[in-house]
Amino acid sequence: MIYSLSMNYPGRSEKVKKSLLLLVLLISISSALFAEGTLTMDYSLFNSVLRTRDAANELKWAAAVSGTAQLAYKSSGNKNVKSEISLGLNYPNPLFAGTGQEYIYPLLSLDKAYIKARFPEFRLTAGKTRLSWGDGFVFNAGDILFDSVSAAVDLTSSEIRTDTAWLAAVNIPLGRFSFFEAIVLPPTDELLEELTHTSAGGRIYTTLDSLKLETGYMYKGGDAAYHQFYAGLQGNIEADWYITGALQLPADGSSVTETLQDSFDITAGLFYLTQFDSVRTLSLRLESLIQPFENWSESSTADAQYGILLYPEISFTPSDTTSISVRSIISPIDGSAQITAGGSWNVFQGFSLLGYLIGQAGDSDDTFSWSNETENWTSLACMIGIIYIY
Amino acid sequence: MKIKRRPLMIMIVMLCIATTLSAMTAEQIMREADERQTYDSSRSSGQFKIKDRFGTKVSTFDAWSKGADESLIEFTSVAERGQKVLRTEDSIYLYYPDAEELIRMQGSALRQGMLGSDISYEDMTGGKDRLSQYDIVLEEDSELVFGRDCHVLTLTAKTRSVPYPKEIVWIDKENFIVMRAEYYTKSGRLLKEMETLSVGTLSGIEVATETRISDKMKTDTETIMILDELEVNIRIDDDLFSLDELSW
Repeated sequence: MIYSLSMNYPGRSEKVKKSLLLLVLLISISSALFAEGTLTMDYSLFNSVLRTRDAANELKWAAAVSGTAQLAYKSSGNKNVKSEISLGLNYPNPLFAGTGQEYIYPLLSLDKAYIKARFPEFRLTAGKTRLSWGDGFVFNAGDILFDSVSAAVDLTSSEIRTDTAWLAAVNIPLGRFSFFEAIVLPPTDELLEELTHTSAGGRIYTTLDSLKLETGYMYKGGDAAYHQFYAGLQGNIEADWYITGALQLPADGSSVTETLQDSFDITAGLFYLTQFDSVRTLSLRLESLIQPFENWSESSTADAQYGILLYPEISFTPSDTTSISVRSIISPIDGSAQITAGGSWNVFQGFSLLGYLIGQAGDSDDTFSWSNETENWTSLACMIGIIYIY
Repeated sequence: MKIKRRPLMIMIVMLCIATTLSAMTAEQIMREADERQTYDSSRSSGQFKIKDRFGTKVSTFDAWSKGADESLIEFTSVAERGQKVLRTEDSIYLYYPDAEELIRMQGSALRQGMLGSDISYEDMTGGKDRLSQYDIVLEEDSELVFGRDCHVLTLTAKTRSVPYPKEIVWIDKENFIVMRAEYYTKSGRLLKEMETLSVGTLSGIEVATETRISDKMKTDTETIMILDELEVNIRIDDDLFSLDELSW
């Protein structure tokens, strides 16, 4: 199955859930009492009709509801210190059924909990948050923190990559348009983990004439530790372009050649934006993920890893309040694709209506398939939803 | 006869000279209008209101500019709070706080309107140079708009890098503020209309504090831009226009 979820799984203890709910209440009350922060609520609710398969492998049409609610409290009282705590309530997305993570009750998650402090010479970030390294909307080999190179993405989201992690980072400006960033990610699988399971690294971000250069390194601790490197360039020739290469070297005695071949990723993209008048805007994006040592001829298994994936996107904004887009992930080697077409309409302040049609095209043994016979495989979905932010 | 006609001729010649001296050319009017809106630096805050039959949607922002090329805009309304746009001479950097993401764009993005509006980044930074972008003709030297005496100019684009091929603008003779503008397609179809609803004095400078843009292709839709605060020619540290500030 191509889909996977990077969400919290069932099994969180009732005690933790109660603690988080108590925290939500405390935040709500404290925000009302003290004007030192801002509270934002972000709801999304979807109703879907899906063409899928049941346990007996029969085609069926199913109905499902899904949604998220996110409560974020951000400090605003100190210009040199910022903090945020963000809690999410996630109701399962039916598109992710069949991943072995089926559950039908909402899950509470701690999405962000961090503090940032700005010193005269550097900036410190500590807590659970996200740092975005590299360039790329869907495919980004430079994102060695969160490995943004899989096709398992939800193209109905406005932000494709939203994973967060517990980390500590120091950002040191090297001029106005350059900086160095160092990061440490403590192990979180166990309460007391081996020191060698800690991950650490850094990146340099700078510009040279009209080019942007970014390069970084990360030691990924764990039972199978490895070193990871990436380097990327970004520039413009009529369209904005970006290209990044990343590879790993083993730190535990594993085969260097095998690790290199398995990990060598190149991502590249083109982005062009044109405006017909002050409102109507058309954007075109094409990204590719190239894995030179993967399969370059069609395999007979659906889970084959191919050498290239493409992500084309066309997005059009016909008015101040509406937008339509077509996004797709294409596997050219087996000739299959997942296509997501949709639109949004910002009807009232903070309130938008959304609609998506998601379909897969390909044979039963392709990466994307209309006729895959796996249980819960969704080959077509129609989703209508609401987003409300206040 | 000769003696009587001579003073008359002299008066006519003098009047012609006086008229020539007082009347401004189209280029002079546009240059004056551009220069009056060009600041070494500025800090402003304002809001956009999009009105349609479903109500009003408001986006608020704070903005800083320095020179002709550098500006920083921070959204302050709930849905996009903390999103920032840094414009430099050759790049636009976007910062999305939820994803902690820094995106650099170049090329055509530099020519886009700010916040999806008719306000260009050149408008923000004050680095206006409409003389180099348009052929300008003075159509009428005097026409009243909201009771203000205005020059009427037709602007025909020299380049494709401007949003509209043709504009007609009414420029206040006294303060050189654009009181009204019409935006046309190349074939002459009216697309949009802008009107200055109020002029105020912010930090001792007369500026349009409220403008309305109506889309002639749609009914019941208009965008109101309100300038709540403006400070110009103030001291702004270069470091404000940096990635460190953008991503803070």
